[in-house]
Amino acid sequence: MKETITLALSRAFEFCLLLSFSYLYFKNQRDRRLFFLLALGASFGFLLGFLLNLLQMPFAYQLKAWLTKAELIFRGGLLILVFLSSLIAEMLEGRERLDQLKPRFLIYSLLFMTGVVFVGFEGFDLCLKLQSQSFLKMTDYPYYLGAAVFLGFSFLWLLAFRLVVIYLFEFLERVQAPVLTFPVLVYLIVGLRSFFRPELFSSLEVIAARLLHDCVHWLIVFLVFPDHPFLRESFWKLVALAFRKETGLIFNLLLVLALGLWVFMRTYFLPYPPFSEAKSPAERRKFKAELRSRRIYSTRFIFVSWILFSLAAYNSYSSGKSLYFPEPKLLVVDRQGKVSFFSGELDDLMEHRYSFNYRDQTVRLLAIRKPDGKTAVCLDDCLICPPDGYAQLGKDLFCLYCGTPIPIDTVGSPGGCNPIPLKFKIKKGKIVLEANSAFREWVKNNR
Amino acid sequence: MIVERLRWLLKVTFKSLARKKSRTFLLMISLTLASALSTVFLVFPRGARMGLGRELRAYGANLIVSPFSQEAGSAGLSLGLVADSGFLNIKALKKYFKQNPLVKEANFQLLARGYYQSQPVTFLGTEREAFQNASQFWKIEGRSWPEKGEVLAGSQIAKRFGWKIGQQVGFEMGKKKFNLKIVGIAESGSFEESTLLLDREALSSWLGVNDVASQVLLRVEPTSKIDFFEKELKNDFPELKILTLQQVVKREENIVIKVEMLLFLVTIFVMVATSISVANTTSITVVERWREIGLLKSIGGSNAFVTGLFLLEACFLAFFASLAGFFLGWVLTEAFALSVFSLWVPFDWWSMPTSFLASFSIVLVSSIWPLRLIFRVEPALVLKGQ
Amino acid sequence: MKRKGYLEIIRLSKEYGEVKALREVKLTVPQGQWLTVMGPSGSGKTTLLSLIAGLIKPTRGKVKIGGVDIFSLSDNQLLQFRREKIGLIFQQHHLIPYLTALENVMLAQFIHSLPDEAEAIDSLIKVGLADKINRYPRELSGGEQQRVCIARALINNPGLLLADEPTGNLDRKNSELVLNLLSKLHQESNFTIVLVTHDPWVARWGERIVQLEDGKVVDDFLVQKSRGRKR
Ligand SMILES: Nc1ncnc2c1ncn2[C@@H]1O[C@H](COP(=O)(O)OP(=O)(O)OP(=O)(O)O)[C@@H](O)[C@H]1O
Ligand SMILES: [Mg+2]
Repeated sequence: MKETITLALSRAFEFCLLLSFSYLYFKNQRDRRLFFLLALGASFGFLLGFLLNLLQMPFAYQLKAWLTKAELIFRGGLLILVFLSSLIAEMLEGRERLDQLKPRFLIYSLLFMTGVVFVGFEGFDLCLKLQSQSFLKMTDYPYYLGAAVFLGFSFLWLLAFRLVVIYLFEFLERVQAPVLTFPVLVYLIVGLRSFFRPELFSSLEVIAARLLHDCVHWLIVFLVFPDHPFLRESFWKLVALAFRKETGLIFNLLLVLALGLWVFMRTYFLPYPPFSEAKSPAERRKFKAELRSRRIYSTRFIFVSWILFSLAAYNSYSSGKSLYFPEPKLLVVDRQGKVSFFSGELDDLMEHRYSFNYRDQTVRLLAIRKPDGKTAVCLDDCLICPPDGYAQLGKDLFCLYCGTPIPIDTVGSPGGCNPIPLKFKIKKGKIVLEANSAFREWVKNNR
Repeated sequence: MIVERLRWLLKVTFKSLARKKSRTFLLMISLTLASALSTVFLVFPRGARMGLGRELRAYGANLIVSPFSQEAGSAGLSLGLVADSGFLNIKALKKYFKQNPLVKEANFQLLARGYYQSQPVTFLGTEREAFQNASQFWKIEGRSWPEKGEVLAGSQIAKRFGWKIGQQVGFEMGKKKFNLKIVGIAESGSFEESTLLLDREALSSWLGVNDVASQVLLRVEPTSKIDFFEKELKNDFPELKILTLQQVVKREENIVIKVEMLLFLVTIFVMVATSISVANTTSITVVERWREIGLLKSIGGSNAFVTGLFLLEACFLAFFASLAGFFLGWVLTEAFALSVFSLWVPFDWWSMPTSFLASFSIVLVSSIWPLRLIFRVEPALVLKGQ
Repeated sequence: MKRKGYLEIIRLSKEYGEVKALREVKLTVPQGQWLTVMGPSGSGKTTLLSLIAGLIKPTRGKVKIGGVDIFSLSDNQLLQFRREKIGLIFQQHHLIPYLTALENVMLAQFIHSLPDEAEAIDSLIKVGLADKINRYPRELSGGEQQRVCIARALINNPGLLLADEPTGNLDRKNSELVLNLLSKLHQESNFTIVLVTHDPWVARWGERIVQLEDGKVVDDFLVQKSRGRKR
């Protein structure tokens, strides 16, 4: 319940941030009303998701999985839409309002984004399926294949959309102010996800890292490339810079602060419109007061968002963890340089953590038997975040650093936020791995 | 700017409050009490829960053995029963545990209550070997093992009484008086921090007993054999009381729950009483200031504005009452926990919003009903004679 | 211009149950006129004033101020209108007891828009209270209090000033001071005044007198000359 509250609050925080952006750039009354509809939708969605979770309906999990996926796409799209369009508006002399722009460009870019995102997912899914085929197992081919499929799909998708868009565009132009109709629908669905990420904050760094992480996640991972395949490690290293414990906090706090400050500055410090001196002092006062209240009106969401953010932070700080996070069990490296543990230990289908000491370093492992009976052994670490480890909640693992949910089905596949998979053998009921190679992977990621 | 406007409003609010000093003061006191109590209600059980099963956990033990008459429990939550209970005879038990391969470690402890400047303090007598096992993970300033006439003070108790290393401190136990030299200060992150550690033998000699202990902490492994071991031990020593870690935690939690419920009732009672007095005062105020309300309305103040003005006054009070209540609450908690449970609850800023929530919700909830009277004030009354 | 006045009262009636306080009153007051309403006790003068100020609702009829039918406005709009367009002075000089003269004036500014100390001080100087700005109401005489009320009523530059027996509690000397002040300010800013009194002496300051009796207008005449003679 506490987690749900945290989520609700943080969600509201995000929403307020969006809202303040919309106030800055959408001066059109109609558009704003649409945003309020959006808020309604979000709360409706949240309630629905909450009920689903509460009633434990048999189909709920499947539904949730689908919705999570949809939500990640949509929410990412929405954030990107608002931020990008603010950027565009800012570039166009800085004064121009979005509703003065031709909506064509926005609609196109929006549709393009959703298209790419959708297809990205399809490609990724297909890639995973291919990977589970025996003849391609444990090779790199699925990724290239996945990439090809992804590109192909994107092309087809866009082709199809071009046709639709021509019709749609005419329709939308007749409707007027359509730019935000889509996001409204988006947020309706979006609200459903909120229950899905527990323990939002566990440390100050995480509070800050969350927002940036999500932005990066959406922007790069979902927008440009699907989550896992074919990206060079050096690229992830670059991304990881922003998450390191040493640099991350300042970097991320700056980002979170800057968004709010930006909107505040742009709205609050706009100069007064010229005012004729001829009027009486009382009228001048009234004029001033109106201007001020208008400024406050348009910046209030920033303040609300900060209040919500602090509430969310407080709520999560004062709440206990309900995640499953077992202590790592210490393994010993034998004379052949191998570490091993009984495969029977994994029979409970829960996450197991191990650690072993090798050359002055403590390497942590994560092992789990998946519901389909396959075993995955990984480092307790990913390519991006510092190695805070993964905890289990239901059918997902959660990165304790950034809170990203990893469905257990995908544990064992490499890339991005997933734990780094290791090669292992099963001998006499024991799972055996090379200490040295695990150590090398670990060191590569944690210098 | 909005700040100016707010500052002006606050000034008006303050002036209006300052006019009725005694009434304001009384309201302030009752609000402070309510928020202090709700802070206690929140903070104490949390602090107490942190201490559940502490002494077992601290030694990695999973069984505690004590004489049947004694209320087994941690030094923290034993409700002052420590010194009055019976003792275990060590000799037979020592031999028995040595022979049993399941027992990996046995820690014989003797607990006694003494007094320092007529304040109760707890002595913990242990054996050198067990102490050394446990204390490798502690942070000890000064010497670690106290010889005869010496004592190792826990960091909390040392802080509380302001003891320094090398200081001679006088204690009382029963009718006896004796001086001990503090040789070190120990931080264990656990209940030892509020006890005085010394050799069990030395403690026994003061108590005038020989070869006895108040409790034995056992580490039994493998853990799957605990139930079996417990049964066996009970069979061989029927006069012993044996509790597993889970049972200890459970028992102690029961105590905490009872105290929590009591606190809850008191808090609710005080909150209701405060609400009534706030509601009462607010309605008197509204009636008294009937004409003022009419005036504000006649010069263009909306119902919301006037109500807001009154609420602001209430919130003004609530704010300072919360601040005071928070600190008072902590003082109360510490006093309560120390005197009844010899427990030190660490200070925690995170509980601050609770005291705020308490007094603000009281103020808001209980003034809404009387404040609806404001809506009934006819602005036309200003044109009527008195 | 004369026919379409600043303040128009159209067939205004007010009934309190059986009691008919006003019966179909019709009045047109041009911009800048000082109208005095006279009548015996219980004739409906205060009722008329409350209606003009929008403090109570009429049983029938309309009040138009500056062309705006005030009873067709929503409650909030009416409040807003009153804040900006109407100043009120009462017989009991209602001041907030725990605020100083200055703060009382600033309160009206605050409710209207923003407090502005310099402007408020100016207005108090205008009513001749330059040295009593920071006094509390209890430290001021009746006449001085009434002058603070005038400053407060005029601070937001209203088009219409309504006064109900403003000198009812004052002696002759103080009354004269207050009325002279009013007429000075009236000449400076040219707002419309509706002043209720039953004292013929007070009525002489006005430009026009309306006689109310039993809720009806029974007499309506200009006093331009007499006022001039008085001065
Ligand atoms: N709230 C009310 N309820 C019932 N009757 C009222 C109310 N207010 C006024 N009246 C009645 O309406 C009539 C007119 O009252 P109003 O106060 O307007 O008289 P007035 O001319 O101002 O008298 P005065 O010179 O004594 O102030 C009176 O008969 C009075 O009794
Ligand atoms: Mg009257």
